[in-house]
Amino acid sequence: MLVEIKNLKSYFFLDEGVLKAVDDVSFAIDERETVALVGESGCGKTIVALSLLDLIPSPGRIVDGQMFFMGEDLRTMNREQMRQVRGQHIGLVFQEPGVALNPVYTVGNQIAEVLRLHRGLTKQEAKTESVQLLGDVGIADPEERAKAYPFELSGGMQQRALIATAIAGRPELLIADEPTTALDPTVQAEILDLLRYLQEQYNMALLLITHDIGVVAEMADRVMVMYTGKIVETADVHALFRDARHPYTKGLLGSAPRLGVGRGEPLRGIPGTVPDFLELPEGCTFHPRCSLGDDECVSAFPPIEDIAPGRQCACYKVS
Amino acid sequence: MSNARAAPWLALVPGLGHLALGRRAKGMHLLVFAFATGFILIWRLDRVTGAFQSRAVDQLVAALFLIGSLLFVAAYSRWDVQRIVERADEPPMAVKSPWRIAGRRFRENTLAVASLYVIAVFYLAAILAPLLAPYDPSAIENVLETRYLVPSGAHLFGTDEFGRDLFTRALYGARISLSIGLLAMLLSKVLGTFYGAVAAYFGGLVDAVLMRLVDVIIAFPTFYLMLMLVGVFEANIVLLVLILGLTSWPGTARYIRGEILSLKEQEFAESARAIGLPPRLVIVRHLIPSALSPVLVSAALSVAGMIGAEAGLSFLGLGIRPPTPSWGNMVSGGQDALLVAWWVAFFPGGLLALTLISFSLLADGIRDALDPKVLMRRFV
Amino acid sequence: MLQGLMIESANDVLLDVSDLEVRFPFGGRWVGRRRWVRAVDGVNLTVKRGEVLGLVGESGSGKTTLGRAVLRLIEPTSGSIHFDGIDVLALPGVEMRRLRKRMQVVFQDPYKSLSPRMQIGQIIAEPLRLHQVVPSSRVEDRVDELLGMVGLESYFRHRYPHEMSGGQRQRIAIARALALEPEFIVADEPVSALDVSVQAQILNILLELQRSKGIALLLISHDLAVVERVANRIAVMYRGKIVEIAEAEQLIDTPLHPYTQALISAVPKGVPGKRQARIRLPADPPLLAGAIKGCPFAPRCAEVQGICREIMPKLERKYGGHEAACHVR
Repeated sequence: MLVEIKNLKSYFFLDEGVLKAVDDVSFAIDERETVALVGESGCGKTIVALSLLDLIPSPGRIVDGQMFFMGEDLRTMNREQMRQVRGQHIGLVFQEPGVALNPVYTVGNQIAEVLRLHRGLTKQEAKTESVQLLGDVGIADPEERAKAYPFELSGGMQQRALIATAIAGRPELLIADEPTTALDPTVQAEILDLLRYLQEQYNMALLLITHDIGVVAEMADRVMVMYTGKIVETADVHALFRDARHPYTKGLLGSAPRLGVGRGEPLRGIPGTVPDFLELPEGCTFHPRCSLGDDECVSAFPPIEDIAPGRQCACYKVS
Repeated sequence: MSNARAAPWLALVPGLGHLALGRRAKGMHLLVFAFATGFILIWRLDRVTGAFQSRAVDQLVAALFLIGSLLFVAAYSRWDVQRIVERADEPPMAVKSPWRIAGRRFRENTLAVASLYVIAVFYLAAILAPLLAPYDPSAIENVLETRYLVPSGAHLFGTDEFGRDLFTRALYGARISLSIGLLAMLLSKVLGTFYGAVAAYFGGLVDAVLMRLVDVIIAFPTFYLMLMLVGVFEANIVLLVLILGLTSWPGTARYIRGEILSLKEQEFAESARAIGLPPRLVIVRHLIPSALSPVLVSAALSVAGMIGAEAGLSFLGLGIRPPTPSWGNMVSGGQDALLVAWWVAFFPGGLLALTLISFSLLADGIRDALDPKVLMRRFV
Repeated sequence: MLQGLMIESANDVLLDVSDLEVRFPFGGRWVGRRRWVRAVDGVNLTVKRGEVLGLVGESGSGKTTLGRAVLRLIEPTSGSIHFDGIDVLALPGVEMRRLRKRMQVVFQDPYKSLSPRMQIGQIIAEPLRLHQVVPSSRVEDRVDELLGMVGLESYFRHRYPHEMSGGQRQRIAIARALALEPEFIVADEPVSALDVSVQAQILNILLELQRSKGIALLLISHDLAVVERVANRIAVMYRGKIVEIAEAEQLIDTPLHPYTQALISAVPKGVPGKRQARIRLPADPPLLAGAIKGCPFAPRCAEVQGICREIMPKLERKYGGHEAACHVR
């Protein structure tokens, strides 16, 4: 068990009220496993990743819960220890590489920085290694490209460079937050292939945060579906696509158009919109949009329960 | 809301109606204002009637303003109360326009609100100066007995070397300083906005030429130009407003042009063009309102700047010349007597400082209230 | 099912674009050499009444520019556009503005396409009032009607854009586009900025509109799956040129052009466990200025031949309604 999160709660304390971005979330990630955290925008999935790394922007903070990484509780670590974790054990790849890379340093420089800091390489060693890494992530002419600034690279190359900085410290866990959303389809495909390749090369676990069902199908071993700060379903990827149980998951799967399927027909979709975090419905937050919703659903948010080996679901209507 | 029945009748006294309906803030403001103007009207009734008889412009303007604002407040109060009562059954519709949101944020900023009050009081005092002033600003009599009197009940700010009441002179000086500040700012901002919008609208050669002209004006040593002009012509309000206004519009022009050019590419502007809106309407209806926020902040600061500039010029003897009082020349006049009669320079100087600080705080308040981040709430 | 599969006769051509070129300058305005980027490089296109034409491409393909040029929101540098027989590029300002009643647009970013300081009701009413399509007394009713068409309640009239979610704003953008009862709408990535479930709602609205009102649609997107759902025909763009165009089914099932094939293979299939064989494309060379000799895709094409680098392939009919610009296929 590489990562074990128990009852994580991360809240934002705003003037208008308390925003429960992550509300009692528990899950685990095994070594070398690919786990997908799926949800639409505003479900809190990004905050889960930020919680792991203690990078939640104020006015947010972790309120409760435990986060075990390689046996140690991350919440008990001091600043220095957390910094080590961030570079050396957990790597983070963001959505918009153009923004995540520092525009005033060359790409090679940024990778070398990680190498010097977290693997203790000398300046010269770091330089060579960073070129090597750039090559590993599939950038042609790595020697030349290392001297380039982020704005000189295309979106796909920027993302590759960003991935290089994330894996430079040889982390055991790589978190990729919407790594392909801002990219073109052909480039998306390449980046996904790259992530898979790197995972195998470096024996990393991958936590993939995304809203793209197609990406999930292609990459994940296990899937966790989030809605308004809570996990509503977990399952292995085959089981999920074959037989999703939670109404929200079913709705999501029905909303995404797939090539060659259902031409010209309306998509199933989910009625209504994702509720505002500060005005969540009573009980099960999904019930106003759910075809199965009834009085039982208004009482309290359904607890997440095992419905089969390796499968969990948070719904009163599913047993 | 059981007071709803009584409210329209109570509203005959401005503000009471609102208080009855629970609108405390509005009610208090209306009530206080009505009482203040009413009080002044009664207290100075003789001057008010005198104004109509003598037809002296100054007096007339003040009197009309006083009566007019009292009537207006009364009428508005009644009208608003009726409107509220009519809408009482409908569900409260929170109109969240960006301006309203900004207004609410502004009101939460106590410092900004306080400075707004100070400015409002000063301007009102300036307009009503002829009615409020205890003495005649230029009256000189019994100089030997009345000169350099220490501030007292009879002379709130004391007297100057000619025995003139300084409180009165400060009131009249306020008229000059404050009006020049406001008018010069308006001239500058309006001209600058129009110019910048035209340059952005036409683009191409027109834009290039207009902007080079702006460059020339900015490069020009306007300060010396001002000195020269003031030296040559007799400085009066109009001239000063023109000089101050015409030397500062280029900054606004440049900014507006830039903003409009960049906003032009935004999708809501393209959307406006796509429905067939002619370019001038696209600019006026869609682009300028969005570009205005920083101009408002700059306007508040600009008034402060203009007031300061006029004061500076008058202080140097180049602006408004005595005996017409302006805060600037009053300070200068009091310079020599600083050790003997500190109040001569102190009060006008203090009023100047207070005014400038207030405008500065007001500008800060406006800027904070208009902060666009208030419209964005997605980060989770 | 899809309407309009049977439209054959030439009279039904609503939009006819011919040899359209849009160039942008960069480099040296007053000094140095002026160079040009051809965002749209000689495009021929037709859209029939009531038809949905999907325009697919990645960044740099020129699809967004083409979408705007077709509505004359950007001035093309050469070529012609005919709308219902009218020569669009020759129209003077006033008449062009009148023509706009018949062709509308929906933009990608719902957060930027609505005027932030106007109420929703005013935003939708603006085109109505401008062109006086209904008497002033009826404007409010029409706004309510339009809101209803996109599934929004009337009380939204008094709200401001910033109070609404992305999906709701996009609906408003559609309502506004419908206000003038256009015959043709260009939808530029209308769902890209939206969540999946909202995407579905908006796509369903577009489908319904096309079905019930017969509005022709130019749907621009980088997402093939989205386009396939709604389109009758699909055109694929690369570097300013259309490289393939065919009926939706044909294009997806039997793509001819190597780029189209690569694009299709890049789309995740949505079925777990199928590690699909991807066509890997070598990295993209930077955007070249000036005329490109030969096929723009040649540097990346697995099946490139000598002729591909020399002569620009023309878009020609390969069979049926299927056209492609390739020497090899």
